[in-house]
Order: sequence, then structure tokens, then C-alpha cells
Amino acid sequence: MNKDYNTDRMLIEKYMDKLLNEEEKQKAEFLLANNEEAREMHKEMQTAVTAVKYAAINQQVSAAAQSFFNSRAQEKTSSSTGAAKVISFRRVATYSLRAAAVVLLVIGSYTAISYQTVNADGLYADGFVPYDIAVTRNSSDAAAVETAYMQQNWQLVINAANQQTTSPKTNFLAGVAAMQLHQYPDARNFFENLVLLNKQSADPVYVDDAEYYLALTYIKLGELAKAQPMLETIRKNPYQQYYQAVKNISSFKLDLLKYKQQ
Amino acid sequence: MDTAIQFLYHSYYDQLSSVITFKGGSSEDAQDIFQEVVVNFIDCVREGKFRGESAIKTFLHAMMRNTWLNELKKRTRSERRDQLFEKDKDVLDKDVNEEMEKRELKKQMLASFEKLGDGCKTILTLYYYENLPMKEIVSQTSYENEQVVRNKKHKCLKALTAFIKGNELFIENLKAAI
Repeated sequence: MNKDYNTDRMLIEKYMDKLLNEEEKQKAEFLLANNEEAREMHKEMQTAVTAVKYAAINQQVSAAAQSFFNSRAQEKTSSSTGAAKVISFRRVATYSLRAAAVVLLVIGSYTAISYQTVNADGLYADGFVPYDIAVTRNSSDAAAVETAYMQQNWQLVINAANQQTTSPKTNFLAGVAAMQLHQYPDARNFFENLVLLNKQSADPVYVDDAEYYLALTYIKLGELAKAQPMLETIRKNPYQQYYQAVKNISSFKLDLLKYKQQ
Repeated sequence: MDTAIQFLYHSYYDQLSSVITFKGGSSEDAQDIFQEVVVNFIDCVREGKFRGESAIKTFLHAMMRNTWLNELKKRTRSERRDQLFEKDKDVLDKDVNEEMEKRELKKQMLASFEKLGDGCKTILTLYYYENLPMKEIVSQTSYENEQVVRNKKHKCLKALTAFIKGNELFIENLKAAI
């Protein structure tokens, strides 16, 4: 490697600095794989870079240490004047007040920004998850509604529900279909109807789903006083299917939106 | 970075300096060892070797104790060392042990770097530590253009590797550590 020592050295340095194109990189890797002297040179360069980094950290720590011990020395000088306790207390109080002010400022800013930006549409979007229907064997009428739902033929689902008002499943699917069509008052009616049917039934179905989607619909319609207790119930029940999903709807923003509505 | 270092000093110096002063060290020893420990700790964090499995204070405490033990060993006060640490022979943190093995190696690295001129120190630090592009380095130094800085950086790295290579003690330590 003596003849091409400088060329090889430059190549290895650029390889270490990741400055080579693909062809040059392959050349460098070939050299490193086949030449002990080149490998040694590469190792030395890496050690040198480690030394640079270590020295830089050392320099920074040294400067910070000096600053720390200088301020310590100044504090000691102050304490020897007899005003130490007052100064110390003032300093602590000042730092505490500053810290409190910063915290308040951050909280205040967050609240102010949230207050400006929070709205029912945003909260609804935070919580809305399209409902995926599971394929079930059912009566032909219900199967038709399911098929229409899977085909995202929302209007057909709603039409079917209007004809089968006593079917919980049809009411639920129609509620979600109405949400998809942004017909929120209709969605609310379907879900409320489902809740009523469930209350009268010995075998209630879609209980969790109805609770969550009805709460979402209430948010969208601005009926926050109705939505909030339902969401809180879900939040407290880890076995509720929408326990995780409800976490996407911020209680703080909901409170803020309620306050904004007043 | 400065804020982090200040935090380490404000939070831990008073508590951890006693590790040294209670074991026969002076306040100057405590300052030197704590500084060395902070440098090594930051290096560990940068290299991803501090995995957060132990609290920062615990990690620093172990480093302080072992660095001081190492220092005492270096000062060949073995009798006093054994006497002082006889009761403290618990299992050392693996991460800390690894770092202690490289202590002398790092000192030699610093010594080699210090042999460089200020210009070289600046260019190498800006390039390899600050990761600045050549264009930025030109603007922060008095060099004419990027090519001049490139050439200078090449020469400086060559000089540093030569210093390191020329240091026999360094090589011995390197071999021992690897």
C-alpha cells in the first residue's frame, strides 16, 4: 500500500465520513476486506474521531462545571455578608414564582389555543371509527340490510330500517349509515330507538355500540350534556368495547366546548 | 447540552461528591472525578450504552465510586484502597465496569487531542462532533473556501491519528481494552 498510501488513506477517510458513491464505496470495502494495513488505518481514524467527540464533551462539561462552581463561590460570598438567608429565600421564591408562571403560561396558552380551536366536528372526528360489520347468518330481511351495509349503500340500509323499526340490528346499522350520510338527527333517532328496544328486551344487543355511537352523535349535534355522562360511563368501564376508543375524545376539550356553548 | 450538564451538577453534585470525600478524597478530587463521571455518562448516553435500566443517580453513584477506586489504584495506595472499599465489594454494574476499563484509554485520547493546534481542534470538532457541513464550517472559521477546510480537516485527522499511534501507552491500553 506504500505507493498508493495517500490515495487509499483519502478513500478510507471518505468511506468513514460516508462521502462515497456506490462504486467508490465498493472499492473501499474491497480494500478493507483484503488489506490488513487499510483495516488498521480505518480503525485508527475511527479512534481519532472518538477522541474528537470525547474531547468536545469534556470541553462542554468543563465549562459547565466552572460556571457551576463559580456561582457556588458567589453564593458563599453573599452568605458571608449576612444577607444570605434573605437572598436565598428571595432567590428560591423568585425561581418558584418563575416556574409557576411558566407552568401557568403553558397551561394558559394550551387552554387558549384549545378554546379557540375546539369544536364539535373536531371532537366527533377524534372519536368516530367506521363500524365493521361481522357477517352473520340471519333472516333474509336482515341479511339484505347487512349486504347493503357492506356495500356501503347507506340509503338502502336506512330505508330498510324505516320498514323494520323493531329490529335492533337494523336500527344500529341504520344509525351508523345515517352518520355516514351526515344525517345526524336521523342517526340519533335510530340509536335512541335501539336503546329503547334494548331496555324492553330480555336479550339486549349492540349495547356498547349504541352507547358509544349515540354519544358521538350527541357531540356532533351539540347535545354535550347528553354525551358527557355516556362517555364518562364508558371511560370508567374497561370491559366496554369502546373503552380504548373513547380515550381519543378529550374530556378537557369536551368541558371547554361545553363552556364555549354557554 | 449545557442545560443537561447544569442539571446533573445541580441535582447530583452535592450528594455524590461525598462518595469521594468520605473515602479520603479532597474536594478538588471530588470535582475532578465528578466531571470525569459526567463526561463518561454523557458519552454513554450518546452511544446508547445507558439503557435507563438504573436511575441516573444510581448509575452516577456507581461510576463515582469506581472511578475513585480506579484513581486510588493509580495512585498506588492499594493498602488504603482495600481498607476503604473492603465493605463495598458488591457486584458492579456491568455498564460501569466496561466504562472503567476504558478510563485510561479516554485520558490518552484527550491528551492526543490536546496536542493539536486550535485550528485543527475547531475543524475536527465542528465536523465530527457538531456534524456541520463544510459550507457551515467555512462560515464559522476564517478559511477561504470548502476545499481549504477539506484539506485542513484531512491533515488534522492525519495528525491526530499519528499522535494516537505514537502514544505507546495508548496502544497498550487500547489492546487491553479490546
